[in-house]
Amino acid sequence: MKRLQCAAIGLPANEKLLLGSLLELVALTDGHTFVLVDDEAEADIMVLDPASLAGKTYMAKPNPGLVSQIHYCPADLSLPNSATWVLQSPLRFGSLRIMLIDVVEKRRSVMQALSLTEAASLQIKNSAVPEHQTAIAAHRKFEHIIGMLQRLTPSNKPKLMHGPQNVQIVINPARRNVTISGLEVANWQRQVKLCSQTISLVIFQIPEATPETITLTQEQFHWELAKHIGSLVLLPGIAGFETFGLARWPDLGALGAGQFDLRICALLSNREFSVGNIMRAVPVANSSLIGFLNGCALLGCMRHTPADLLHSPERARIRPQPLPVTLTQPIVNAPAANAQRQGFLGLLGKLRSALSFNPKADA
Amino acid sequence: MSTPREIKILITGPMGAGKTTALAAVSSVTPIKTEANNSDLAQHSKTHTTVALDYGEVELAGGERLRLYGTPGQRRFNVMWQILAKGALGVVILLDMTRPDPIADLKDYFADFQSVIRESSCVIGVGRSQENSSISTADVANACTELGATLPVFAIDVRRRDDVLLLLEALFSQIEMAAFE
Repeated sequence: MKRLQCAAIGLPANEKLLLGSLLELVALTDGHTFVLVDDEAEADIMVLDPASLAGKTYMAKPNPGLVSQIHYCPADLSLPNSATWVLQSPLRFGSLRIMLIDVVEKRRSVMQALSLTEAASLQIKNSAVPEHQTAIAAHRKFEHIIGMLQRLTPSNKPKLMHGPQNVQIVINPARRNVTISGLEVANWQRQVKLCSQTISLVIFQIPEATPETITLTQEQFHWELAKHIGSLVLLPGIAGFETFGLARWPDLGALGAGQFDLRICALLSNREFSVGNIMRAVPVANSSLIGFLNGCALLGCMRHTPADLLHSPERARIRPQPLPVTLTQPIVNAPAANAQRQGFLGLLGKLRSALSFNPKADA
Repeated sequence: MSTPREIKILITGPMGAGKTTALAAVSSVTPIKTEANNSDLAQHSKTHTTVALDYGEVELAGGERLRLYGTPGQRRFNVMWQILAKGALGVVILLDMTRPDPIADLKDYFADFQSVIRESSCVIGVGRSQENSSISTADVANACTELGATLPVFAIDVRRRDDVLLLLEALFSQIEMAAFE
């Protein structure tokens, strides 16, 4: 059973109440049910009145979705071919149900298309095999190596692994070190970039003639692997998650952080968000976000709430409250107040400009 | 004409954690220091230590200012801590991983600055000399979780401006993203 969350924006109070009641009555034959939520950030489906101020504000955002009167659109605004539905006022159960069936079907087809697109977009230097099949095979190989790394148990003895084409990785779990031999330090970044293009473990295919050895912490190694290899597919351990949250922040000081990493960490540290809603809050490329989530998963930073708990009323009651902001001369009493928020964001912009924060690994 | 806005950020932590150095790394003016001979050599061997506060600032366009305050590290001067913490937008806790029990230090500072941490934002910086420590940044982050907060914990070198800026940027990001709650 899959429960989709709907948010109403700009609808009159009586129509919002009616919508909530009608949604409770809709149960599709494929198991989909619906619920009206107040938090638009968590919604899978937006119902909005484009003539209202709130509706206009929503549509003015960077990813407004496709809207015209009362709209239903997939929450994951990054999805291609997302569509808009128009529901005529006044709301009626029959037309709403038909529309929701259509919405669910569209979401399913878009998800399937996206999944195939992602698999096919993994670039493999092997034209003899159909591209998407090769991509899947390469991804499995990647999983295997990741699995080997994760299965390592603490030991005082460094572990030496030999892989294809002179792969040598020395891992010392006791010191949390991974040593990759035969790799020129100066080529590290270049090789990592190559990995994202080829999805094969190019970093390990360096000729042994290069004398230098690079030593990374195990966390750095996992982070680089996750962020730069196979960054278009979620790792199996988190592929089924509806939402993502952080149990702890990754050490971005040691890993190298960009503003995008910091913002997503800040977003996910207090509550869980879907991929679509993360991208709505922090404009970022899909591949960068997937790489980030994979990295957090490999570092054990990810928190997960099972789907049945995710939608439970009990969980809704224990959502953390936003942090109020205090200043020496208060300019923002409630960050949610839009005008004040804009002013405050402007101030943060000035701060960033004055301090010249230089992200090391921004998306 | 409106009064220029000011933001206050607090840098705290035990003696020798690098508060004065961190503040100096980002201040656009020469920091004001209140250092005296260190009479508490049992706690740290350095010759001078802050006894009241360190102050630095970054001037922004339009006369606005980021004010940075460093607290004294010794607990006997903790009368200053709450005075300095009042109205702070965020607090940076620096931990010295060479001390006997950095996690206990974290808990102490968490208790002392609880109101600032709960009401605004907080980031924890730990010295990069962790080879000598059996405690990792993940251990510190997990300790924060046990204390009821999911906070950024970064390995940094306080002498490096970029590292200190990373801490400040983490504070700003938390504030910015709180609006999406």
